[in-house]
Amino acid sequence: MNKEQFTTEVLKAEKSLYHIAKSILGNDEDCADAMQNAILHAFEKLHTLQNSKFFKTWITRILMNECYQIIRSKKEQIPYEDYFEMQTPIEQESYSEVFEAVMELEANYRIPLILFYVEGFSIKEICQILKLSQSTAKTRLCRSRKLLKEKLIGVYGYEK
Amino acid sequence: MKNKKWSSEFPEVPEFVHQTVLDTLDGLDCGKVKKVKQMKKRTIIILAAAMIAILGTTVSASEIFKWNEKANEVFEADEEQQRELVMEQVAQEEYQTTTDAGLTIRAVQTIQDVNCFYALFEITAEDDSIQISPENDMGVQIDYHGKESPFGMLGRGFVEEGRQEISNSRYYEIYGTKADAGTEDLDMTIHFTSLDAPGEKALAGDAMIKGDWEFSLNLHAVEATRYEVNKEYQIAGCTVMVKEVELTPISVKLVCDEAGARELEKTEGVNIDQADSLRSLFINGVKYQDGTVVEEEGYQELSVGYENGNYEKTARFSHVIDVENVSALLVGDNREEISLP
Repeated sequence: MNKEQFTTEVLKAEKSLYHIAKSILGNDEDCADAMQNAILHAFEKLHTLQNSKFFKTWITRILMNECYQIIRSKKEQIPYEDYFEMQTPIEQESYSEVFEAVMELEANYRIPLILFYVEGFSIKEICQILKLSQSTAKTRLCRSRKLLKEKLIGVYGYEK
Repeated sequence: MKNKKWSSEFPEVPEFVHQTVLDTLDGLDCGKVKKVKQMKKRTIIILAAAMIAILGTTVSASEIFKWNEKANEVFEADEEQQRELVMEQVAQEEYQTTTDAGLTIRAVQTIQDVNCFYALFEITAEDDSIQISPENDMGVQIDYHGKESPFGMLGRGFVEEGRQEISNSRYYEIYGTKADAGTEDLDMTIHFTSLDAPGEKALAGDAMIKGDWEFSLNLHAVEATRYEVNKEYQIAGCTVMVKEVELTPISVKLVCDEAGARELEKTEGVNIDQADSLRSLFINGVKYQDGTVVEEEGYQELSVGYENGNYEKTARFSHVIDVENVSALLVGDNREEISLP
């Protein structure tokens, strides 16, 4: 894959990468940093990508590492959920109710759900990205569906 | 549940995030992109933050970068020793200093080996009201004298605040990873054109001081020392045949059998083909013959993959290593020893 192809693939994946970064970091500033770092890191490691059909899975994994790195380095003394709660109120005025309900889920459930339902990754790909077994990934998806349904019915009074 | 409506429930990419992506893509491999926040490039050289905080702005480069004894010799050696070290082609200490428009740039240190290049400059503004921070940057043009750039990745930037107090003087690093390993002489001119104000995200800031500061470098590359190991080690519960190790003062190459590395992949639940790393083969330190251990703190993998039935990886050290005195590599979280013959 050359630089032009890399650029094309990144732009194709941009929205997905943003959603995933958003689901982990909450804050758009941090999302931009994570995406920039991921792009630079991916380009540096491009020679290790042996099959371009795995590009999106591959760069998603890199992005998630960058997101966790940002959390580790910036918020070492603050539990992740506290950090996440600190970030989300800043930019939520225009978000949909479904999005807000998803973002209220714990990360363990939120991230697989977004990867599967929003970004269309397969269970197998999610296992590769999150380093989970298939049974764990499926269990988390099932649980996340249930939790989300409860939220949408309980808080907003309807089932999406 | 899995339908297109989901995507519409999620926010669009904000314009400034999109612009960051575009700027980053636009600046790939031409040195325009300044990495923001914490990046691996910032951990190439180990820091001594506490010491620096105490010593303030008067510290020397050797204190800032905490090179090991060998490298300290390069910085601190008398003239005869310097000549000797340069003849060994391990490092070239440059004494070029150029002043223009009230800004002095001194080339402090350059090193090249088969995989990497590293150059250290000290940038000093005569006007001490100009405070140079890690967020500033330099306009830089690099000329390879008619040849193509040998680097697959070229990074640069002022050292972070933890390594040096903010003042009118600051160290600036340029570091390259070669696209293809090689020991050809590196003939290049580094031309600084400006000291730039901090920019927004990946964008360069406006020039604060414009001028011409040019440095000509002609660097020999140190040859790697190659060790035929050919010995099985128990690493993270797996049997791994370590075949070969190559060392230079600033980088390392490790060759193991593919079968052993595949076992480690399964154990760690990772996939090297998809950019994962084998944590159990991270080189977390080197041990010298006298038992001294130099811990790695800025370990950076340069390349990793399978080739010809082998797992091969190259990495750069955060310390300059005294190759002749290395007795073992320490790998993984448990610092398991790979002895060198």
